[in-house]
Amino acid sequence: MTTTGWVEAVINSLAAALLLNAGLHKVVVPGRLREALGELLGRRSNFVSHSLVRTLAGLEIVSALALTVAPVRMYGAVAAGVLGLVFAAAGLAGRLRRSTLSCGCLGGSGGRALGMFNIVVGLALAGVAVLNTGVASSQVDDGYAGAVTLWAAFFALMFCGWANRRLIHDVFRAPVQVGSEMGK
Amino acid sequence: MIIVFGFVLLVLAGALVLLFAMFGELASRVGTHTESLRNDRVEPLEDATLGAVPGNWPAELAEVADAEHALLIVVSSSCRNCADVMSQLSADAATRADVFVLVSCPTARAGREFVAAYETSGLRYHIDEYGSWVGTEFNVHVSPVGLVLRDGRLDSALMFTSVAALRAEAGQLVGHSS
Repeated sequence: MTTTGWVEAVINSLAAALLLNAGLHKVVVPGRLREALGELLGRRSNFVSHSLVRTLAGLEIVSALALTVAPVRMYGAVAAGVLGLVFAAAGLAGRLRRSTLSCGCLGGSGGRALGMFNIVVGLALAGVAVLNTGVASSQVDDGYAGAVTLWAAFFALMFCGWANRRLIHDVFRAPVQVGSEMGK
Repeated sequence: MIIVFGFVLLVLAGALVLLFAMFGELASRVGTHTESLRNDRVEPLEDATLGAVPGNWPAELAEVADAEHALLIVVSSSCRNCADVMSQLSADAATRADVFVLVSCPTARAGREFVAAYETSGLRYHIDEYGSWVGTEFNVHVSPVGLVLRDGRLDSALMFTSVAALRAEAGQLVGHSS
């Protein structure tokens, strides 16, 4: 592969790993995003169901997988870009309306609400679409799929570890002393 | 060959992501080790100024001022029992809708992050920086504490670890004084 091809492969694997984490997490825990959107949209949030969140999750997973297959990677990149713009819009709305509920976005088990993080990640995904459709129109060879899947698996594990770092810390933390204190 | 290996690895990584998501969800539903700190003991807080009627109420607690009976739970973002109290409220939508919560914390941001870590749909809460309002109005400087109010007047202040036990005690107090 050319240098451009390698750069494209690395960036696409990062995007695929990100979308895979976000999608798989939403499949298992659709409630958090639903509640965060409910807080954001108020009474207009009736249409946001678990099924809708899981459909979005499915789109994320399909986009991630498409990014790893050379012939259809362009479609995957465009879908990732569209999803990125949706994430950025949700993040912007969350920031403007001072969203407080944890959205569980991008596989996070912490308490991060819709906000700047979603804007940054969303715009980065939009950048991936631009790179694929505009800059990196180079032909990639057979090495693309192998490289992207391997790196995507590696990055997915890294993102998963980072998103669940609090949980991992809790699991490995020494048992705390049991007491009955009352106070600040 | 490397493509097959890559996809197998990707599937395994995906399975691990799913496992962590389920593990996280399970942990949030069953609570944590803090549950072992919970007991049914409910004790009066001696220092609280019973009978006090606040001159001004935070907008989020305006309903408390007007309610015939109200239970205001004071929690702090830095106390371990309070995290368990919030977990109990997260797990019980009916109780969430019935009580009011005051979050005492160093900054509004810390308060928001504390609350955001739990399921709080339907919960009416106020973030009280440094606990200054509840400290000034009711002389309450510890947490978790349940404040039983009648028409905005402090009837009793109770230290607790179990929300169910607090509600039972508060119900009895309201029943006796009616």
